[in-house]
Amino acid sequence: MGETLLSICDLKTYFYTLEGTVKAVDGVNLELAKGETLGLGGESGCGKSTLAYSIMRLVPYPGKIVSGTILFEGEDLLKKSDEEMRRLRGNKISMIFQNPLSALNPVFSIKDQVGEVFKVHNRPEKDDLDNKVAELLEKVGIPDPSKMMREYPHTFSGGMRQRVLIAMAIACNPRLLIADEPTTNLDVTVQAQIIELMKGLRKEMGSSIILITHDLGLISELCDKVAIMYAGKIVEYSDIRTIIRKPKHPYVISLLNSFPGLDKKIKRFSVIKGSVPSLINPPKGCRFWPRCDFATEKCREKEPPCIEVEKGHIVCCHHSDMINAESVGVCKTPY
Amino acid sequence: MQDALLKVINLRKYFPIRGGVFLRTIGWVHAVDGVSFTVNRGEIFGIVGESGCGKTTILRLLIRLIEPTEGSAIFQGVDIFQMKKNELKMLRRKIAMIFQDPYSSLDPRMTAIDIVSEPFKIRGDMDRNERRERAAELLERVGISSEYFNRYPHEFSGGQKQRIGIARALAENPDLLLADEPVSSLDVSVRAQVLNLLKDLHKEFNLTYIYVSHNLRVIKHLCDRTLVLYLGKPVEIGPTKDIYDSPIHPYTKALISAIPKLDPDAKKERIILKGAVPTPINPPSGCRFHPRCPFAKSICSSKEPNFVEIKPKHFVACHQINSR
Repeated sequence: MGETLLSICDLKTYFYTLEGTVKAVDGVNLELAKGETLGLGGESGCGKSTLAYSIMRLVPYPGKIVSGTILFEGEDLLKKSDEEMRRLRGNKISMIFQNPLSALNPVFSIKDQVGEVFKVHNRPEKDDLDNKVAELLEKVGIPDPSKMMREYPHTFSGGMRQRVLIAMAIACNPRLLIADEPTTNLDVTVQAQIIELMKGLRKEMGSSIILITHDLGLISELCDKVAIMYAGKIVEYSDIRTIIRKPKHPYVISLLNSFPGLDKKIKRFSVIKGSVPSLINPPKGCRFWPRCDFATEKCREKEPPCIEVEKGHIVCCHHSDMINAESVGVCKTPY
Repeated sequence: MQDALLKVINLRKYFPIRGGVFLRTIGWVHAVDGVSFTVNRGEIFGIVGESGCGKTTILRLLIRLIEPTEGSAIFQGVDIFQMKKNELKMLRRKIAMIFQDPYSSLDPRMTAIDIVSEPFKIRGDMDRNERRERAAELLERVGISSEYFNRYPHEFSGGQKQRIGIARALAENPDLLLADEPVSSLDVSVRAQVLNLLKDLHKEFNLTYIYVSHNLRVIKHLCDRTLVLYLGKPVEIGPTKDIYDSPIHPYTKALISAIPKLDPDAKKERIILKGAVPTPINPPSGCRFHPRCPFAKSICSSKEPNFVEIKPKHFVACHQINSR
């Protein structure tokens, strides 16, 4: 793939709460090429959404970006003024939020809300605005757009609201689109519609996409690259085929295993012992060691390095040379 | 194995919609509209469908948290819906429920051990120590260790809360356990732990489950038989394996094809349905699925399809079974 669009280096975003400092994102390095789709996976509380909000510079109080750089088209987003960021958001970088019910304002019509994006960024003529909104809504598959755009959000179903949000996000043909769990609240059949829509749009627009989800199936359907996060850090990064067929990090292997396939009936669901650690006091050394079957003394003391085991396949584990899917004895059946 | 524990016949529940000055009933939500099924002793019976199809309503009806509009449910020879108040107390010992949201189904002001020993208190034939002893046993069984017994719900994680909910449901040694999406709010790794626990308990306590979910993956691996529900009506019912391997009803087909596959090279023949589930206030005439069905013919909009047994124990309600 071609040029780098986004490059994140040693990003740290902490939340200063009364109970202590929550290290939600703790030293993340990531690169995204133009036109690439990256899936960001992991369980809830692993920092995926915080990472997205950091890129948008929308980290809510009491969170703060502590250090690091986020280079977008060669410029550091963390050095930009608020005004410059405002011009970027919704224009070159835009985001689809998780909950379509709360991301739309109930007292404005769909037209006002979608039109606002145009008003802020390229100020079209008034008559032109209506046409532009209708055109956009048609693109995301809303039937009878010129009539529907006068309606208010409550008259729309969940799937339709999600389409409106997608329309708002793609209004200015963003270079980078961040989708935070875009289908979590939707029914399966509606989710399938949204997946197809996003696939179509990706082809048409050529933007880079970061898809945040805990559903590995969704990542596999939509993404070229995958980064799996655990407790504020990226533990494995590679292209989708490699990670599904030859995962190396013990966490990723167990995560894939706890995702039951549909071909064979399994006797037991495979389990990762324990639960996700608190990010206020994460375990020393490798953050996964208390739950890892391969943990040794080294893992308890030293943070593992991130090693490129193959070209474009990065694993952060002390034992990446000996652990692979076969040695764990699972992951053999095609999902 | 073929011993029927629960037989539900033509169950209906309409919720009134009130409006106008005098709050007269101006319409009905047809939440559950003619559902019949049998649950055999010892099996795990799955009910699957999208949100708003009436899954939860069925469970709530079965333990009489709400009253049905019509129908009967024969449980161990007695109709649940004819029971008097004192009989209901007995019923709720035999049928227990695990609720969907572990955050709101535990009393925040009671400790874990109090929550689990409350069913014994209601029964009233044990003293405090005995009650606590029994509750401690149950909590240990579901994987809550003794140092946590005196903690309050907010101190537990979602998975642990759900374990407490399961221990409470098991307290009276029920015959039938109703599980309403018990793992939908849990993370993948924790979800697997709770599902395994449910599987183990099923054997150990000789239980029968009705497991309701919209998660088709979980249903596939947990349930022996599955009922697919659409807008308050069953469209297909049969052994889980048959339903997943050879679904017949166009809705079931679309539902199963819509599950994202993990393998990026897997063949994806996804059936994309038009639109969303219509409202149950004025459900479509005839077959309720016809406005979204790619195979709909004129008969589908006028006549309701009946259940046909296409394979042993595999029933489908669709007019177009033979035409494809």
